[in-house]
Parts: sequence; C-alpha cells; structure tokens
Amino acid sequence: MKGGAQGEEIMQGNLYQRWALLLVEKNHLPREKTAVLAYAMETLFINTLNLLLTMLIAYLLGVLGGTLICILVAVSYRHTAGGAHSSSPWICAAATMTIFPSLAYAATFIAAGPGVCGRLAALTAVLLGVYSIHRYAPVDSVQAPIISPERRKRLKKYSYVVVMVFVVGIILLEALSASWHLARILQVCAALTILWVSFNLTPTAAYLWSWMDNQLDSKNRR
Amino acid sequence: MKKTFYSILGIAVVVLIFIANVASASACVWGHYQPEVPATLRK
Repeated sequence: MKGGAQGEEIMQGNLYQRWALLLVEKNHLPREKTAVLAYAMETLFINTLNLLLTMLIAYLLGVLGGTLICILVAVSYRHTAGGAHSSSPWICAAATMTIFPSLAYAATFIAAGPGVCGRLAALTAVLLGVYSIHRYAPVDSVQAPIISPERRKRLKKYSYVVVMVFVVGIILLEALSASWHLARILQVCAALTILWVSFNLTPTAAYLWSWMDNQLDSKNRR
Repeated sequence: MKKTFYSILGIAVVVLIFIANVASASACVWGHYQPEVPATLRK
C-alpha cells in the first residue's frame, strides 16, 4: 500500500521532482529534501543548457570571447542585484541565446568605431548602473522572494561592490586599449551588459517580460 | 558495484544541496527564468 502511494507520488511530480524523490528514497533522506533537490536539478539543468546553447550561438557568430565576458558580467551583477524574469524557461532560453551574443556582436561593432563611442557607452553604463542599484536593487520575484530586510540590505551593498569592481575593470581596459586591440571590445561588452542588467532592474523590464509571457500564453490557448 | 552506485548517489545529493543553497542565497542565478525556491530555503 505504502509502495503504491509512493509510486503514485513519483508519477505525479515533474521530471525533477521524480528524480529528486528517487534520490531521497535511495539515500534515506527526510521527505522535505525532495523540493530542495528538485530545485537544484532544475536550476542546474536550465542554466547549463542556456549556457551551452548561448556559447554555441556565440561561436557560430564568431563572438565567443565577448559573449563569455557578457555572461560573466551578467552573472556577477544579477547574482546580487537580481532582476526581471520570465515565467517560462523556453522564453528565458530563447532570450538568453539571443541577447548575450547580440550584446557581444554590438560591442564588436561599436568598438570598431571611434574610441569616443566606447568611452561613452562605458560612462553611461557606470552611471546608469549605480543609479539603478540605488533606485531598485535588489529586485526579487514571486518565485524567489527576499524575506529578510538584512539580506535585502546586504544584497544592495554587494551590488554596489560589484559595480565598483566593473568600474575598475572598465578603467583598466581603457588604459590597456592603446596597446591591446581586444581591450576596447571587452570594455564595450561589459558596458552593454551592465546597461542590459540595469534595465532589467526597472519596472519597465518586468512589464516587458510579463508581456512576452502573456504573448506565449495566448498563443498556447489558440 | 552497488556500494559505488550508492556512494555516487550520496555525492550527487551533497552537490545538489550545495547548488540549491548557493542559488537560493543569490538574488538571481543569471538566466531570465527563476524556478520556485522551496520554502525551507527562503531567507
């Protein structure tokens, strides 16, 4: 009877929950760990898949290095500042695969132009980055709410630290740009990513993601 | 053979719990989709 109920429970959950439940049973762990393991599996799977597909697109477009810098900046910035999300992993995958290689591609284009364009992008990114953190960070979601006010304060403080590290990096790349031709591209990649992540902190970005989710929902209903 | 299999499962659990804690401690992992954080990990 017990085995039957367990079997039914396993079949009812999604794939991550089924695997998590199997791990819990095989390791004789408390049942509460199922949700934690399923969350870890979903996070790991979605982010690894997004990363691999994004790198594949970037490689095909010839902007792999720039895309890696964009992802590195986005990971560090979003880790502390958060941002708007889509409720669909498929929209997320499509957006990630499109946005980061596009940012790297645009950065290559801007960096090939007059130096003033790159400097202007970097300056705008730093100013808007600091303003967005001051005004909005950290931005949480219904799926991952920030409950503790102390944690909220700590994340805001760390967001400032992350942006300050970017500022130092951008200044160093500016100094290197005279002798190293890739420095300008990397600088603009970082600047455009800061602008993108800063935009994702705003209510307009939340509205945009929600609109995209609704578009997908309405198509599914037809 | 069975012992090795159970050891691998044990290691997988430890790694997954570590990932869950790191992911839930951040405001966002990096992508534009956020899986629902379990109640036990919400802070």
